[in-house]
Amino acid sequence: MEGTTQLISQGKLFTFSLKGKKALKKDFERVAISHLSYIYTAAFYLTRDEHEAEDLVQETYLRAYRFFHKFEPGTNCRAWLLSIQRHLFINRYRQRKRDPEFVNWERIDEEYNSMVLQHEQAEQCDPEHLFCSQVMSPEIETALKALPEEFRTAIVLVDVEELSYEEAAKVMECPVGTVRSRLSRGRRMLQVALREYAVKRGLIKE
Amino acid sequence: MDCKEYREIIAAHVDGALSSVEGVVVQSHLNGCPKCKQKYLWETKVRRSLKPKLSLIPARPGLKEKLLDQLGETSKEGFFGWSYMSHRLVAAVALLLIVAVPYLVWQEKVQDEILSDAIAQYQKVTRGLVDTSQPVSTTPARLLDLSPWGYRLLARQTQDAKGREGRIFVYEGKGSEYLLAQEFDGLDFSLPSGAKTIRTSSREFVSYSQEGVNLIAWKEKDLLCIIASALPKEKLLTLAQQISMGS
Repeated sequence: MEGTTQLISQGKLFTFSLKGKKALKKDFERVAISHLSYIYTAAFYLTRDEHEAEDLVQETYLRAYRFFHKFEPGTNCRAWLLSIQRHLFINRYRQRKRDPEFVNWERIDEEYNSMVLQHEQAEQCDPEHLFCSQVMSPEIETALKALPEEFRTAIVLVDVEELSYEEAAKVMECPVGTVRSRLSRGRRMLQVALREYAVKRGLIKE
Repeated sequence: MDCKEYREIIAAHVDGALSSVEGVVVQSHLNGCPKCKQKYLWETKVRRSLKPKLSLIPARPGLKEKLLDQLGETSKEGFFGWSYMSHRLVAAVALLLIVAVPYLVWQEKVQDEILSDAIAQYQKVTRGLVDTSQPVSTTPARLLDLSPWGYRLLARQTQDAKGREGRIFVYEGKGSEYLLAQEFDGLDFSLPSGAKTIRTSSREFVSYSQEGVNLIAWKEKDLLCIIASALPKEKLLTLAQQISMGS
């Protein structure tokens, strides 16, 4: 059955042309799929598994394609995609009942404070003492993957995905203050983990 | 705030993510607190060193092509896609689709091909696949011209299936509410599950609701008439009665 649609405006009858499938897909490719590396990276850190990350990316883009009419042109498409992804992750991939991950904050803070103090003392004689000049991307990736999810997510969204704190708060559905706190603590944990790695490998002296 | 609280927002200060007022407050504390200042300088150095190494992880080659193929398959299977129609028309065609679902349930006495064709047509409209290169029919409504009740016609669709004519209209009310009106020639219907019959002195109406959309249907001579909207059922029924009395 063939049908035609008329849009009537101000008493005049005119036909309107709708973009065909190909044009819509091209637009989606230009606007949304251009962020694929960012979306895959976020999926990888969420799921901590390459195959699940790929599945999550596919689901994210299918959902985004379906609701592309809801995306406001000119706004941050990456943040929009990451919101969709996070919802999908929470609903399908994350264990429904999780035990809260235990973090020994006392130990973390102690090691962090000691690290900062040692650096100040060592800086004058050896600027390269800074542990992070000794670690490379793969080590950072491993350490980041090991962080508890909420801290890991905060670091990925702000430091890797380059979202603002407000955008990250929207994706994580929490107040900006919570993002600040998780980022601050997450970075501390990451630094402690990287320093431990660098010491173990003999890259820096304890 | 104590030092512990300041240290929670030092990272945000390093990132320049504090408001100007907060930034002044924090900087003022740092100027007077050597320990917090030490941590601020530390965080600044670490950030400068680590940030370039927090790199993106590349997806495997071929993932982009796989995604594009899947999007193509999605469109073919009648997935609910999107279009550049104005937001008004998007809402209107969403109503079309919502009505098509309960209408499908009424198909006991209605020829399947007419219903399936109508649903396929709604899906084509919602995916922006309507061919507008054909000459446009200007067939007016036989009964469901709602302009006397203050409704403005936004869109109109005609259908022709094996000699039976159907017309779908999308209206906008005075309160900017949308209303979908459908009339089908020579069709009968049966009650879907959840539908209620409302008997008035003049005729019988069927009331049906799904996902916040209310629908009133009735037979008027040889026409099957349907009006659907998010308006309350009672208002819709009143309108249906008025239309019916005016016919």
